[in-house]
Amino acid sequence: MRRVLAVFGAVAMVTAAVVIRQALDGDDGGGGGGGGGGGGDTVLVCAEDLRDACNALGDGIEVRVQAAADTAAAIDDGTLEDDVDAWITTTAWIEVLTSRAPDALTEDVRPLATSPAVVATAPNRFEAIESLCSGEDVWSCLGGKAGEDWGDLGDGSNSEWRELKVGLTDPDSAVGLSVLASASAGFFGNTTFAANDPAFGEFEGWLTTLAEPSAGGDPDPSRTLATRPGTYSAAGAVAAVADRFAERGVESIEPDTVVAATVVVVGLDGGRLPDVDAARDVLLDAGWSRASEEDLAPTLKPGVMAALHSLWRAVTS
Amino acid sequence: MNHPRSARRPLVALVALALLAVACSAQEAGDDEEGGFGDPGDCTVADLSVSPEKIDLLTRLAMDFNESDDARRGDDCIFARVQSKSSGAAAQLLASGWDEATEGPRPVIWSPAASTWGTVLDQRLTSQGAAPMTGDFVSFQLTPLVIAMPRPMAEALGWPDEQLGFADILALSQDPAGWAAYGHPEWGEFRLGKTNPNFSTSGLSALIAQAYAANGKTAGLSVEDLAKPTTDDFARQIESAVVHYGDTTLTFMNNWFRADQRGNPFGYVSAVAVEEKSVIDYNSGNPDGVLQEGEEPRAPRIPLVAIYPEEGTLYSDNPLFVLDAEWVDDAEAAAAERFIDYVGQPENQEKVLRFGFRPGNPDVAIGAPIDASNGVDPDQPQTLLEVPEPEVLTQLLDRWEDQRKPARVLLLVDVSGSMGEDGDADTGATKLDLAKQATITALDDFNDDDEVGLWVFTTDLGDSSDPQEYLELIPTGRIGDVREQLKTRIRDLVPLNGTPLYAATEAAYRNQVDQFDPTRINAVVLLSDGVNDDGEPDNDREELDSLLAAVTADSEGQQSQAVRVFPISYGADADLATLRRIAEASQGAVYDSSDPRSITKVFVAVVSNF
Repeated sequence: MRRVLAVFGAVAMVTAAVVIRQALDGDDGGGGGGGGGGGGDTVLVCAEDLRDACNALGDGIEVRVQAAADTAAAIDDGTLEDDVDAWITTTAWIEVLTSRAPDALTEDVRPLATSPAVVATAPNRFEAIESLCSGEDVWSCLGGKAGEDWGDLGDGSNSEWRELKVGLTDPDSAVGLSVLASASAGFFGNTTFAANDPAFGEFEGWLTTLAEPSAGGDPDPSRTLATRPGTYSAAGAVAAVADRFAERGVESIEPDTVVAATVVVVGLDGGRLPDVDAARDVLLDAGWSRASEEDLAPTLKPGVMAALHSLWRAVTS
Repeated sequence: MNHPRSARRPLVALVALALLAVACSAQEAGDDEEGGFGDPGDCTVADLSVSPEKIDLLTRLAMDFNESDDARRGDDCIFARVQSKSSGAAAQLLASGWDEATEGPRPVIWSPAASTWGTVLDQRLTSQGAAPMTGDFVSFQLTPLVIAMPRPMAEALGWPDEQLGFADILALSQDPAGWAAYGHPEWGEFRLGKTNPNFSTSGLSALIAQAYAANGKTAGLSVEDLAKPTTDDFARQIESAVVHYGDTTLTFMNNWFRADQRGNPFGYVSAVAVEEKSVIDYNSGNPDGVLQEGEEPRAPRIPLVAIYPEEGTLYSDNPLFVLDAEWVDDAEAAAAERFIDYVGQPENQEKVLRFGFRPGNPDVAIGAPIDASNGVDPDQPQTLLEVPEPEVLTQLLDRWEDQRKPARVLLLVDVSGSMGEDGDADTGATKLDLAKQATITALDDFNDDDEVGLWVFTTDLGDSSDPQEYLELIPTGRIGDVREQLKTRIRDLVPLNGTPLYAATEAAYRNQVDQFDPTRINAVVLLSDGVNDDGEPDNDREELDSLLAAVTADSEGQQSQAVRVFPISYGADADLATLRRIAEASQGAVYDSSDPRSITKVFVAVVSNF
C-alpha cells in the first residue's frame, strides 16, 4: 500500500511540476525559481564542462558543479542530495540513466543547445590527416592507425610527428560521452550497433589503442591541441569547442556518421525546471546551435551509451 | 576534486617525485626577491609564491591588477603580492610547514614551473595523512624544453634542415674528434650544459627526455627500460659531456652570454637543455630574463637557436594553484580567483607572450617574440613525451646519481679571524661554526667516487719562520675513502688571522688546473667572509688581476682545461662583487650567503653543480 501511495505521490508531483512549469514558462519554456517543492533557491547540478554556461544563471538558482559521470552515479545509487531540482547535462547521459535508473529522471527535459562531434586536428596536420584518411571515415581511419609512427604512414614525410596519438574528450564529462559515441559510430559505420554486435570484441581493441593517450582523462583535448602542440595529432571534440581554437591553427573534420552533443536541462524526481535561458545564451554565443525537441532523440540503441561508458572505463583503467 | 579519474595518472606518477621534493630545498636564482609591493591597507591580500623565471612578469601583472578595476568590487579591494620561490623549495615548505618569519607570507596562489610539482606536494601531504592542497588549475603559460645551441653550431649539425635530438648530442659527445668532425676543429670538444634534475624542472625534463630517446619511445617508459645496459650507456655518455650541473639554467645563460660578449660563445658550452623562453631572453639580450635597474638589453653577437628534440620533449606548464590550505579563507580564495581571471584576460596574456612564454589562454594567438627571429619555432614541438610513472621517475633519479659526471672538487675555506664573529645570535654559533656544519653536511651529497680535497686559508699559517697563506689539510682524493677525515679536519677548524683571498684562490685554482681530470667536473668551492686582507694592501690590484687573468685564460681557450670556481659570499662583510668577478672569469657561479644562517641551504645549491 505504501508503494502504491509513493507511486501516486510521485506521479502527482511530476504532474504538478509540469503544470507549474507550463504556467511559468515564457515563449521558450523558461521557468521561475523556487525548488524542491519548497521555498528558497532552485538547486541545479551542472556538468563540470558546462560550468561557464551555468555560471551565467542568476539569482534564485543555486548551481552545484560536478562531473556528469559523478552526478549520474549519484542518481543511480540514490546518493544525490534530495534538494536537487534539475541537472544540466547532455542527452548522452540521459541515455545512460534511462537504462541504468529509468525512474530517476522526470520526462521534463528541455533542449538548450547542440553541436556536432568532430575530429579536431593539430596545427599544421589538417591536410596530412585528410590525406591519410581520404575515402574513409575519419574516426575509423584514426582509430585504425592510432599508435603507428607517422614515418610509416602516408608518404612518410611527417616522421617528426612520431606516434599518431588521438585525444578523446573525457567521457566522464557531459560532452565527452557524446564524442565517444561519435568515435564508436565511426568504427561501426552507423549508430545502430549493439553491445553484443559480433564486431564488439574487435571494437574493444580498437578503442583501447585510441583511448590510450588520453586515458588519464583530458577534459578538453582540442584545447590541448592549441596549448600543448605535440601532445596529439587529432582530438575528438564538439565543433563549438574545437572552433574556439582556430586562432591557434586547430581545424576540424566532420565524421561520416554525425553524432551531436545536445545540452539539456532535465528535472529530477520532485524537482522542477528553472529558467536556464541565460545558460543557453552563453552556449549560443560560444558557437553552439539552438537545440530543438528533435535533438532529444536517443543517439544509440537503448543501453548502448551506458555500455560504451563502461567499456571506456574498462579499457583505460 | 570531484573528477577522480582525471587525476589518476598524475597522482600515481608523483609518488616518486616526493623524493625529488625532499631534495629540492635549495633556492634558485632570484628567490625571495622583494617585489616592491606597498601596503595592502584593508584590502584582501592574495599572496603568490611563484617560480623565479616568471617573477618579473607576475610582479608586473600583480601591480597592474592592484591598480585596476578588477581588484575592486564596491568598497572591497584585492591586493595581489608576489614572492619568488623555487618550485622544489616551495613544495617542500608547503608540505613540511611554511615559516612566515623566514620564508615570507604563506601563499594563497602557488605557481611552480610545472604542474607535476603540485602532484609532488599532494603526494607528500597524503603520505603524511594530510589533505591535498592542489586540484584543478589554470595553466597560466607554457614553455617547452629545448636544446639551445649557438646558431653556427646548430647549422654545422644540419639545422634547420635536419631534425636533431639527443641521439645527435650523444654521437657528438662521443666523437673523439669533437667539432672537428663537423669541420670546426676550432670549437674543440662538445660540451653540454644540464641542470641538476633534483633541483631544476629543466634538468628533470631533460633527464626524462634522454631516457625516452635511449629507448625510442614517447610514452610508457618502464623500469625495465631503465635497467637496459643500452639505456645506462646512453645516459653515461651524455653525462660525460656535461660541463657542470647546478640548480638553475640561468647560470648557464649568464655565463654563455658573457662569453659571447667577449667574442667567443663556443668555448663554454656547445648546447644547454633549457626552456624555450630562455632562448628568447638570451637572444633579446636579457639572458636571465630580468633586467635590473640600469641594465638594457644587448643583443648577443651570436644568437642561439632552439632545437626541439626529435625524440620529443615536455612542457613547463606554470599552473596557478589556489591552495586548499587552512590558512586560506574564503575571501582570499575568491580574491585569488579574481586575480587568476585577470591574468587570463587576453590583454594580459599578451604580456605573457611578450615575456616569451606561450599564453595559456588559446584565444591569444602565438606570435612575436616566439618566432624565428628569436631562434624559436612556434610550430614546434611536434612530439610530446609522457611523464613517466612514479617508480620510473624514482629509478631515473636514483640511476642519475650513479650516471652523472663525477667531480673533482677542492674546498677552500676561509678561517680568518672574522669567521669567529656571531653567525646566529639566537644560538650563539659563530660564522665558522655554521660554515663547518654546512660543509660537513654537504660532504654527504657527494658520490663516493667524487674526489674532494680541503684547503684552508688565512695569514700566518704554519711555521712562524715560514708562514703560509693556505694549507692543504686533505689532498684531493676519492671521498668514499676520505669523507670521515674531511669531517674531522673541518670540525677542528678555528678562526685565526687575515684573509689572503686572492693568493689562496689563485693557488687553489692552479692546483686544480695542474691536476685537471678531463673525465670529471673540476672545480674550486671557495667560502670567504671578507675582502682580501693579507697585510700588503699595495699589491691587491696586481694579485686580483693575476688571478682573474689566469682563470680567464684557462676558461676561454678552445682546448681549455676549465676549472670552475664557485665562491660563496659568506656574511655581510664578504666581497661579493669580487667573488662574482672570480666566478664569472671561470664561468662558474657565485652564491650569496650574506645571512650566515642560510649557509646550509646555500651549500646544498653549490653542491648541486656536481
